[in-house]
Amino acid sequence: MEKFLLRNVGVPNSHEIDVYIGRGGYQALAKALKEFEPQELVNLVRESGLRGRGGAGFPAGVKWSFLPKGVYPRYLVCNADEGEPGTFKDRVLIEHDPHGLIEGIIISSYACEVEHAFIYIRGEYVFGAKRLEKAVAQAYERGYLGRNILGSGYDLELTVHRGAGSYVCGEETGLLTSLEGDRGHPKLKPPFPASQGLYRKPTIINNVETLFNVPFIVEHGAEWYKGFGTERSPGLKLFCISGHVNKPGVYELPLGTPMMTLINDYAGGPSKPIKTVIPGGSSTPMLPPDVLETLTLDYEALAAAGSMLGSGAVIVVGEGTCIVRLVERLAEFYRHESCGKCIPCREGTDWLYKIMHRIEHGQGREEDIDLLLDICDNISGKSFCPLGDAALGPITSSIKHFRDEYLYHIRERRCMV
Amino acid sequence: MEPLVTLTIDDREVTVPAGTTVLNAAKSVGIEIPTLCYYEKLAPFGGCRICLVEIEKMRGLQTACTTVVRPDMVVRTASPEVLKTRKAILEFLLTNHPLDCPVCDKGGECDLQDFVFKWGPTESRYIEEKRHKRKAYALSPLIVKDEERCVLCRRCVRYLEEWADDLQLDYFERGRLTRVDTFPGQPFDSVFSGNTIDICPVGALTSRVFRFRARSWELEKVPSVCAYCGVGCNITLDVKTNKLRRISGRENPAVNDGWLCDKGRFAHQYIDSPERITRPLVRKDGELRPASWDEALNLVSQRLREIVRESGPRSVGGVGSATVTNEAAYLFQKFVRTVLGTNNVDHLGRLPDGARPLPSMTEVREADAILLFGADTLEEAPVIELFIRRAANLKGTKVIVANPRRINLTRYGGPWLAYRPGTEVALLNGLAHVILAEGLHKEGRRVAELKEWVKDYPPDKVEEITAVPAETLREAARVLTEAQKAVLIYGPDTVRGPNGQACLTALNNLALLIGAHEPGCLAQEPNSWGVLDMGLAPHLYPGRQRLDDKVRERLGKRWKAQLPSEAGLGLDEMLKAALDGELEALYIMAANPAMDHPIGDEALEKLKFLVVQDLFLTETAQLADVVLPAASFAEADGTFTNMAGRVQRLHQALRPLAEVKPHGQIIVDLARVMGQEIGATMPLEHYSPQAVMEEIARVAAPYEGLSYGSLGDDGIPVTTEGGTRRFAQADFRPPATDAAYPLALVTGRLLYDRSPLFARSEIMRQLVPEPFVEINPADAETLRIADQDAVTVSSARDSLELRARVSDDIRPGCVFVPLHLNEMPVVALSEAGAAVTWVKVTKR
Amino acid sequence: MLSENAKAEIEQLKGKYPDPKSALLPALYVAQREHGWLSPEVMRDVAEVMDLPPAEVASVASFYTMFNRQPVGENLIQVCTNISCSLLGAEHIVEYLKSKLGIDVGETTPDNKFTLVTVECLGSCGTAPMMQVNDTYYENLTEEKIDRILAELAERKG
Repeated sequence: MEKFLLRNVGVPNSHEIDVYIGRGGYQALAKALKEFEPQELVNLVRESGLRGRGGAGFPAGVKWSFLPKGVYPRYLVCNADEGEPGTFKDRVLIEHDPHGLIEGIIISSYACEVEHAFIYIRGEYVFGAKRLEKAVAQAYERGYLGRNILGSGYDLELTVHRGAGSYVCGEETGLLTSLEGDRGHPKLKPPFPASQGLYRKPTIINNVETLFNVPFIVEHGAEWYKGFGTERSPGLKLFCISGHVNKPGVYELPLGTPMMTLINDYAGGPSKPIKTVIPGGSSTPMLPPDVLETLTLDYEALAAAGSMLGSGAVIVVGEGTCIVRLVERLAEFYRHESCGKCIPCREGTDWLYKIMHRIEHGQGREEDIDLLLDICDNISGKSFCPLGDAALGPITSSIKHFRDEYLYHIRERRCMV
Repeated sequence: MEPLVTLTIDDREVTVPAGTTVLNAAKSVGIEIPTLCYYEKLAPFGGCRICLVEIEKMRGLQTACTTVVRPDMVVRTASPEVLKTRKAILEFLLTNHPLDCPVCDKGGECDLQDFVFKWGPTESRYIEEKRHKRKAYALSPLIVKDEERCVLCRRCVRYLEEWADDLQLDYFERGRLTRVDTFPGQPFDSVFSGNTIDICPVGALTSRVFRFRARSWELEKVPSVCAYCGVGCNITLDVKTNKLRRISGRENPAVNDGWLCDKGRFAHQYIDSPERITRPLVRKDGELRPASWDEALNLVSQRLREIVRESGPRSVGGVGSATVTNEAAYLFQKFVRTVLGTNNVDHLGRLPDGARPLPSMTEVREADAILLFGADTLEEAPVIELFIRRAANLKGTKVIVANPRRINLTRYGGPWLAYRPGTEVALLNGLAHVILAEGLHKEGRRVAELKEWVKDYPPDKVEEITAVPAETLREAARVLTEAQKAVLIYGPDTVRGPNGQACLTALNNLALLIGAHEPGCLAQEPNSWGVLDMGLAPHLYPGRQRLDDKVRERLGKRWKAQLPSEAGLGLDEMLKAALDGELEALYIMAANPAMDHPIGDEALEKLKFLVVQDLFLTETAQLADVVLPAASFAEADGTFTNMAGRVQRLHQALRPLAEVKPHGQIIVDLARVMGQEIGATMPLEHYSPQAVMEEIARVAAPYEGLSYGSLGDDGIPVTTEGGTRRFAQADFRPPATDAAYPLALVTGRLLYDRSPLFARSEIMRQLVPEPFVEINPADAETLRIADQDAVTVSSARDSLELRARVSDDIRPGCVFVPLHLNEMPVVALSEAGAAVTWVKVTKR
Repeated sequence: MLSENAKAEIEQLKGKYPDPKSALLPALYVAQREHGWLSPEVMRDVAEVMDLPPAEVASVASFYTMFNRQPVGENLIQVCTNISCSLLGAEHIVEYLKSKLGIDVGETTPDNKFTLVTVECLGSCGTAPMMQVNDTYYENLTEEKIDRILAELAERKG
């Protein structure tokens, strides 16, 4: 099928502004500035049904409409702190099509009447940050950024800001605190960022991919966009597939595409028989192979299957992988990334890891399984930000689907595989 | 009035003002929801999650500390899910808590301990190894940190952020490794550090002074008032076995709001100092030797009588101090007037006539602009500094600093008027000039007259006189006039000396012009106002009544005594008279003029007879013929009147050591020996401060109706009459200069100094800096003086040997020498009554 | 400690943001680029230029994994061991590097050329296993590829 989001990936020098313009870039921006009032753009994006691609799936246009009327300055922050294990789609867009992102940011900023936008990119993406900085400089030179953009009278500053190694900064309020020059502790909500965000001013935070979709919606219209995907999960989505498949990578598919189409037709099929699939990034509950045949990749179907679409990061885990070891590693990750502000997440992730570690190292007790579940229950919904909950998915789902393997590990004091 | 909201909490209907949190709504009907990170004086944090409650129609549990009530909300604080969560949070904390409660100073007053007792798990499911972090290390000479006990509620950090505006502690690392610490290798250096102990919910931050001195439940808690500065912070004295173990802040929103400075909190060990005088001393063969009370009092009685008989009552006098209670001060002046028969009575550091108390603390805290004239709240009234910092930090309150020396509050950029000493009146007239010239003043009568009086002080000329740039002066004027609630505060030295009254007048003019409250004096002693109210001054009777015939007659009747009609001598005059041989005997109560008065030393040596009652053998006491051991503030009952005119009660917490007696009691006993009752004794002849207060309430009008009963624990403000407020002419007289001594001496107190009590408080005294003279780099360069050089500071009168501290904190042309750091009195450099002391600095 | 150039650069960064405090992370990067790691002395200098309490600067620096608070070797080898890399042999990559370099994870070679650490997901899951050396990603690692990379790095500068 025709590519949109990835249309420039693989084109030589796709990150250069001339190449981008030569391929029709910045046309949507011109159209947006000429033909739309900001509010009309908000309505358009709302009509398109575009949902946040960072993981939570909140409708972008609705989020924009939460901005309090008449309060300025407003900020827009592009969340490029891609950190959910298994996810690497934003990196591909940033490195190969930085102008596509910038165009999306400018249009969205215009829609939200923002005068200063930021791209918060994770610190490890040094290459991506350099590409973005260069692209931003080029966009300034050509008048797509700065004062009076394309003669429209609209002004916008865009600043690329690097994180420095912290997963929790991908959480939108953690990101804001970090951008404010502080430790990336999430902030109290309410007030929500739309009313008091960056520097306590109204702020819109959208994921790279979300913003990347906007120019296409402007160019082709909401109806066109809704023509992709399902009724409740409209549009195009990038899926990053990794793990035990033959052709891991990023693929663009309409939402609602069958899981097995992604695995077999795009990712070249599994490299080992599938033991489990983590469908939306490491925090989403893993699924057993038997549900995969009928599973489609959209928000609703994955929720119905007991998991989440998340960031669209499909991790295929083949036979021969020790689930306990895998979950222990993820528990270690969440413990490492807990910011420490709230007790359930700080202490809970530490405890969960210690128990997993003990089981993995042959010191498990059968009662540990119920203990793990009870600790998960004690964290669930009680932590300050979603990180606490994110840590639970791998544990609860693995116990649900692989309890026997846990028991084997505990009783035999070794791996089943 | 806020609209009210009605909601349901645990099946009870609760009505509270809109904007109340669920936590406080529950508290208002006595429903307890535990909290750790929440602290009512700090912005909500929401981190500990222990206050999670169930609210109908809301997904998941909600933090009660951050959720604001809404009409018809239905809250459950004890549902099975809430209780399970609460237990879980406590279990999470306990997984890595050291459980070293048996050796924890917080034991018995630890929130975590109490919460676990009420809601926690009864057994541990945690079998892993606990995390180990640093135990019991010194964050500073005063504070001990235990990282394992810390629950990371961030109260201490938030307090430093929001109140002290001095972020010396912060989180380090993250997640499970998070700890609260200082910058690597740097001690926690703040005069507000002790408050973090009070607000720490666990034993993570503890006091090195209190460490292992008692278990909290053994302590008897006695409400009292701090006896160090004029703020009058409310404190609790924690006592065990007749020893003061700890001082902590006591809630009183009208005063310190629970906060303390470290001096008030930690510097109390002087009470137990082995240097305390515990028995009367009498000079025999040139040496002070222990004696019985009978012997000492008889000797005092006999000698005073002799001298009065031989040289008349004018030849004796009494010098008190503003560090004693109202009751003691009242009895002292009564003793001098009725028993000795003279009005020669005064105290050290008396505030000049016309000085007015600070407006209430609430007004200071709510001000949107503060002018601090010749005062440094950090050194002289730290808790007020804390309030001002908070206001400047969180509300943007402007702080205009008029001071030749940079103080901490200049950091708020408010602006800083670094005037030349002696030019205060010109500066103030200049401010009035700008306000009038720019038409910024509030309407007022007689403005035209004032305009005329200040017409010679345009900004350019004021710049020439004061060295304050014209633009800075204009900015200050604008800031003052733009404020809705400006407060003017001045240091007592500003309104002393030959220009003092003119300065006061000019300050009053300024306040009137901008429609502000009367300017208030930052009184430095704990009872500066009270002792004046008690008549501890030659020209004032109790209630600040002037010494006219009518009052004298009325008072004489009440006191059943013939009161002297002759005007009395003030302290300066008494000491001069002593030098001249006209004053032969002095009775000194808790004052140290040998150190604190320019001629104290020489004058006292000339006396025929000197009696001193005090805690220590001060420089003054060493010159005495009889020394009487007096009680500390914790060993006697009484009241202080703070710098805002609030009368507050001190409760006796300790039995005095050995033969020590309260100041008031000594006076009563002496009077009796001398054959006169001066009242206020109980049938059993025990001194009764309560009865003294009853007498004061009858005699001193502002205190009318006051009693220990009515004072309660929070005290009562008394207002002494101020005069009618009107503009008046404030004449500026340029200070005389002396080419041989080109530098103007600026002196001031430091919070930590070598004054008698502080210098005898262990642990704290190591924080006292070495004596120094601060000199501007420009002057230092001219004089070829480098930082830390040994130098001599000399005036026409005397000289001091000090270390140079080269810093632009002091303006050029001035040097700053702190008081009470030296063995030598700094005041000896000054001519009594000179507007400016001129000195020179030479390298040794 | 911090050079005048670095101070000037930080001053300039402060101007990029509506609130200069936002420049703290960029400022710490400037300092780290100059010194290789963030010593207390350097952080104190950053605090001064940023007009922030030193404790706050050190606190922020300690929150983020990319700020080195210990000296590191010329080449900081960061091997991702998170899920996707781990599924494709990251542990083996770590073991191989350990034996090649003769150091354990968290250590620096005696010649100060290499420091070896393991890190969390670097967003290179489709090209696993991978490692980052200083700013550069090396993907689809094999033993042979590692040999080549290490040889190249060892030759670079002095």
